[in-house]
Amino acid sequence: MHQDDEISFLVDRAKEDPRAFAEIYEAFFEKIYNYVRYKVSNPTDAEDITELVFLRALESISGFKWKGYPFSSWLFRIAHNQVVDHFRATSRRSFSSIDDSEAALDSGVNIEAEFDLKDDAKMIQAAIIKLPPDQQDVVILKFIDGLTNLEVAKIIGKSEGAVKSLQHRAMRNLRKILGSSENE
Amino acid sequence: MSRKKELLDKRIESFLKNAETESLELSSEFTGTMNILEKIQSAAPPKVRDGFKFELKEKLANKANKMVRGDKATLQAGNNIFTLLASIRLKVASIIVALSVFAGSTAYAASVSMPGDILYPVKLASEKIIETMTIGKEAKTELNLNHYQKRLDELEVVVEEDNLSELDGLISSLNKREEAVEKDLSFGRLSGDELKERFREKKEKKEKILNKLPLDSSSKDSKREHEEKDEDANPSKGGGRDLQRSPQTFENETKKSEELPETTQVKGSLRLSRRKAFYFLGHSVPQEPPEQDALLESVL
Repeated sequence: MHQDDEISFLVDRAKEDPRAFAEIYEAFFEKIYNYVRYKVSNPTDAEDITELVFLRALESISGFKWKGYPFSSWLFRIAHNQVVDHFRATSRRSFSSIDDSEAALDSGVNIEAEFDLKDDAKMIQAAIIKLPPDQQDVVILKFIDGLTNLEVAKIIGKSEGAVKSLQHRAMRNLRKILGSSENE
Repeated sequence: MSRKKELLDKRIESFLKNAETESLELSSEFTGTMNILEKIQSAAPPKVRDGFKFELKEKLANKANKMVRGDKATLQAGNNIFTLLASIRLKVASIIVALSVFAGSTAYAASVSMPGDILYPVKLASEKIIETMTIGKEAKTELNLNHYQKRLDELEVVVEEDNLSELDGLISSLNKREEAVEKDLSFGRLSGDELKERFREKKEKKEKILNKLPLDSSSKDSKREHEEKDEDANPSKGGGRDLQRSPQTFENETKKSEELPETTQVKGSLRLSRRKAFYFLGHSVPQEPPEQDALLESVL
């Protein structure tokens, strides 16, 4: 069975019987956790948010309707909203704007030292956190979770063209952030 | 010429130099992007705390079980409510249907009721309501004619069934209708000849029915009143039947009446007394000796 068909089958089952949601959880846990973990630097916060995402999905799955988008778009949309709510609730910005990252670059902030990075993964994670939220979403969803531009656009509530533009700016900023850290 | 060539060569040289630099920059940007993408995609995913995935799965399973139980309880409660609502709705619907059937039956029964029936006043009341709601003189006259026709039909049945107790009221009602139509006629409200012709036909029918009327104590006055009215209306007729007959004829009729049996079957099941039979045949009732009356009463 094709993966999409399998997911469709699981979703339809879970709509009838919430106990069948366990299989959906198994299929999407890593992707959702990764997305949240990249967005939120604190692992405990990431766990709390991931839990809220799946609980909310379980509660709402009976009302889920196929609208021409993959089920993952719906699930990531919940995750995206939960992350936004999290930052709103804690009233703090765990991410930096591009200006901040550029300022950090100019001021010679050592990302590796700041995050105690030991490998590329951690360095990339630290660099992504420095991006503005929209650019973070595009990088994580497109290059880490492997979603299409259309799916990303649906999740973050922007057009496909805007996603391409965000992607371009995100890559330029990442080059600057990572180039700076490598030079130093 | 050589000067121009020199300038052109310098421009070409400068363009090529810039193009090389830009190309190198683009190449560097592209390479940098590719390196970043490679790093992103080859980077190991963030580590998940041991046990977190399992703990969350347990929580979700408990939640799902609660939801299933809750759904069942809600469904059961919903079923109870729906059963109750269905029961109430069924009762209300039954009452509405019963009332509708009752109202419809009553209306129908009233429309076919005859004088003396319980629903006959309902029929008259409904006619009155229709009359009140009718607008236009011609329409009202038309309605009066229709109601006049109804009274005539009722009179015919009453006479055929020998139901003389209702006769006075019915004839009175009929006369009122007739007066109403005549009033319309006299004031020129009826414009159509067809209506006049219909009214004339109805009056003739009334005459025929009244001629069938048995003459007894209850109906005599009504008939005579009617006849007097006819005389007033048509003096050319020369009065009632009694006046048209000679004393000789009267004697012959008396003899005829003596020859008649005690009871006569007229029009199937209609039983008429001798006195009524006389009237039915268009003869005036002869004077009978008192003992004959007593005998007649005992038979009746």
